[in-house]
Amino acid sequence: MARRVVVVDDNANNLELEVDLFEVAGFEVFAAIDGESALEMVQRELPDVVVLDVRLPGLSGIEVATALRLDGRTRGIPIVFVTASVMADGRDLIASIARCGFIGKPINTRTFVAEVSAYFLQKEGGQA
Amino acid sequence: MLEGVARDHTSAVIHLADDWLMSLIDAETGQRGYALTGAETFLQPYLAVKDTIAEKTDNLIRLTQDPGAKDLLKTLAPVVNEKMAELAFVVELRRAGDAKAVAARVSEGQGKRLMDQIRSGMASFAVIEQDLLATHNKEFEAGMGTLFLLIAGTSLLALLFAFSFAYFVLRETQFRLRTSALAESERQLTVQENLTEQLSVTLRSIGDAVLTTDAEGRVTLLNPLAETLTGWSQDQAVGRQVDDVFVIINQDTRLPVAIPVREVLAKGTIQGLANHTVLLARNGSGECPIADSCAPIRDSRGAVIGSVLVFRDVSREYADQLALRNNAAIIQAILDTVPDGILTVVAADGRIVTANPAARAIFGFGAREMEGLGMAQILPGLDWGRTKEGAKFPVEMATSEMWLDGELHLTCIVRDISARREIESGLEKSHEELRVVSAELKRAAEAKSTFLANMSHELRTPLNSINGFSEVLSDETFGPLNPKQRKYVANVLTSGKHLLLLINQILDVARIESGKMTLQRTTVSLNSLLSEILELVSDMVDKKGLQLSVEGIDELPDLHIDELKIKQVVYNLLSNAVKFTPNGGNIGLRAKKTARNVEVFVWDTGVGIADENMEKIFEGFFRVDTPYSRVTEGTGLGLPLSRKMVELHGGKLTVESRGLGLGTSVKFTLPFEPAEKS
Repeated sequence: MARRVVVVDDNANNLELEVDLFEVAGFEVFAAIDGESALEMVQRELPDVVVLDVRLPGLSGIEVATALRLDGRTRGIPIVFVTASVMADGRDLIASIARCGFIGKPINTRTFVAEVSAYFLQKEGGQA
Repeated sequence: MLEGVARDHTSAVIHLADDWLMSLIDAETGQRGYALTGAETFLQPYLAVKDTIAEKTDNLIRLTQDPGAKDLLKTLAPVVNEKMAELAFVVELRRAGDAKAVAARVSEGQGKRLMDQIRSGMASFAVIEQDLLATHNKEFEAGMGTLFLLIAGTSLLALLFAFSFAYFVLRETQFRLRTSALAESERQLTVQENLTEQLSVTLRSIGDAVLTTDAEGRVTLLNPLAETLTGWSQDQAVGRQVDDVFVIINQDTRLPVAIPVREVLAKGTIQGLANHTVLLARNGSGECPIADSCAPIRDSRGAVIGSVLVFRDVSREYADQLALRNNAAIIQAILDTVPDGILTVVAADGRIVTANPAARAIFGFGAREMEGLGMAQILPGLDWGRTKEGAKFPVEMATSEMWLDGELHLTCIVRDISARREIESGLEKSHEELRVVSAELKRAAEAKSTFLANMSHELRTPLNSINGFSEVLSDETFGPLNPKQRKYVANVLTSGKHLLLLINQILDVARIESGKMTLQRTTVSLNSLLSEILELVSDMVDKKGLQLSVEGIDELPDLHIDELKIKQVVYNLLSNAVKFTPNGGNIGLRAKKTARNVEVFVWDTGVGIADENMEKIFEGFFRVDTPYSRVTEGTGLGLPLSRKMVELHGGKLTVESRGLGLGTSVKFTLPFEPAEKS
């Protein structure tokens, strides 16, 4: 069964790049361009992993992640933040969220899917 | 004999009445003196009479035998009482300090009327008594005639007896007198000796010099002090004229001054010396300023038989006076010079007694205008003053107490601090402005940080697409590219990566400048770190056919450093060496451990750096244009960033080059025990 991923980015080009990379790698991909639709989509699809931009219009990535952690059904889904911010910019908040990772932009297209996979594979192999 | 008794009695009464009236008159005169001056001594006669006059009046009445005179006195007694009451009243008025009432009372003339009454009464009394005395005298003289015969007879008998007795007494007395005269003269001699001894001791111990002469001005005596001051001994001086022994001149003119002895001997008066006289000691053996006086010596009949000259060394007094004058001059100079106002004030009423020129200047008064003013007029408050024109100004004041002529005074030192206040308020203003500027700067710095964070984010977002899609294209994930397309995509990717490097380095510079770059120190094997970077650049080295030599990296210690940043530094330096060295050249890395740190050299035989560019290479965005480097290969930020990162570690980064085309050597140090900054 194909891995399922929800990818969230407000920049259409970047969203398309990430979606393409996951599809090439054989994922079933769901894409969202803002926080509200992302939250709704994750709660509906319950994917294996969520790839989340930090700066989003409306609900921010961190708010989406917090909401997901408060929902029993989505609490365990790994979240990988992908952000162009290199400044502190909520880094502490991200660190305080359980089961999440962090990848800076620009991404390395050759390793991106593997980096994301590492997070949920680690989850499956390790702690519940 | 009764006539004689009566005569003596009357005479005594007259004397008594005289005394009685005189004491009253004295009492009145004294009372007047007291009323005028308030001096208690004037009251003595009054006090002597006050309590005894009534008794004396009674006594006089009792003793007076003539009935008319007795009655006269009786009528006077109440007048005297009235007079005494009048005196007592005036004295009490004066004691109470009411001088006006006293004057009024005296001018009423009541006292004078009473006194006149007493005087006229007593004049009548005196007439009666004198008559009585004359009567008694006549009676006495008549009685004396009979008495004479009786006395003459008995006297002859008595004379005979007396002569024989007298002869006996004479003989006896002569003998006694001889004996006692001898004893007396002996006693006199002892007294004389004692006196001489006492005089001699006195003269020796007296604090003044004493010289005596006889009537002809010849020296008869010098006391030890006189010997010292004149330089003459008693033995040498005695018999000489005083002018030889006591030689004096005027202190200022140095001309001889007349000795007062001659005048004293001639006139018999006491003489003092003119001021500023100097005594010259014998043979010029010294001199000293003296003060003296000369008095005549008289015998028991008052004839001048010599003179005594008393003098003393006043050099000490002169010195003291001079010191006092000097002190006064110093104090005056200070008072005239100080910029602070100095006032002397009577403590009781705040009246100004003296004011120095500065005080007048501060308060705007002219010479002697401040004396007599009240302090409250010029210093209404403790911290502000008022000028003559009424202008207020801030002051600082200090006071201290002192006693002058038994009255408490204050010395007040007043300083006009307007200028200081102005400076203070100016400083406050500048301080406030600085605070505003500083807040502004802080806001600007924060705005810059925010701007850079946003800029970085906004630049990275499109770069993510550019680099990402280029990579996917060049990987031919979605189908093969022709060679031209492949080359173009590779160019896009190279440019994209260069842009990313620029963004990262600009951010690093900004972080360092704002102090936000911190080190993540871990214990790192420097050997491994250097080997790793050498490995990383080996492709570039090979591509250019460069000769790479490595020395000393095996014996390096582990260091507590930020691994990523030091890697960045070494990579920067090595890639620069590669970049700026022509194909086939040499580059190298040499490391060594010293006492306190590790030194790393990265050198090359490349283009080198011109002297004038030595500093510019650290300014940022400076790049040497060479045929070996392509525009896209460097950012111009690598070297300045490397230096900053080394400095963050407490080390130093320096560049050496012998000039263009002569190669470059970069040296950086990393201390073992870095001073922990950040």
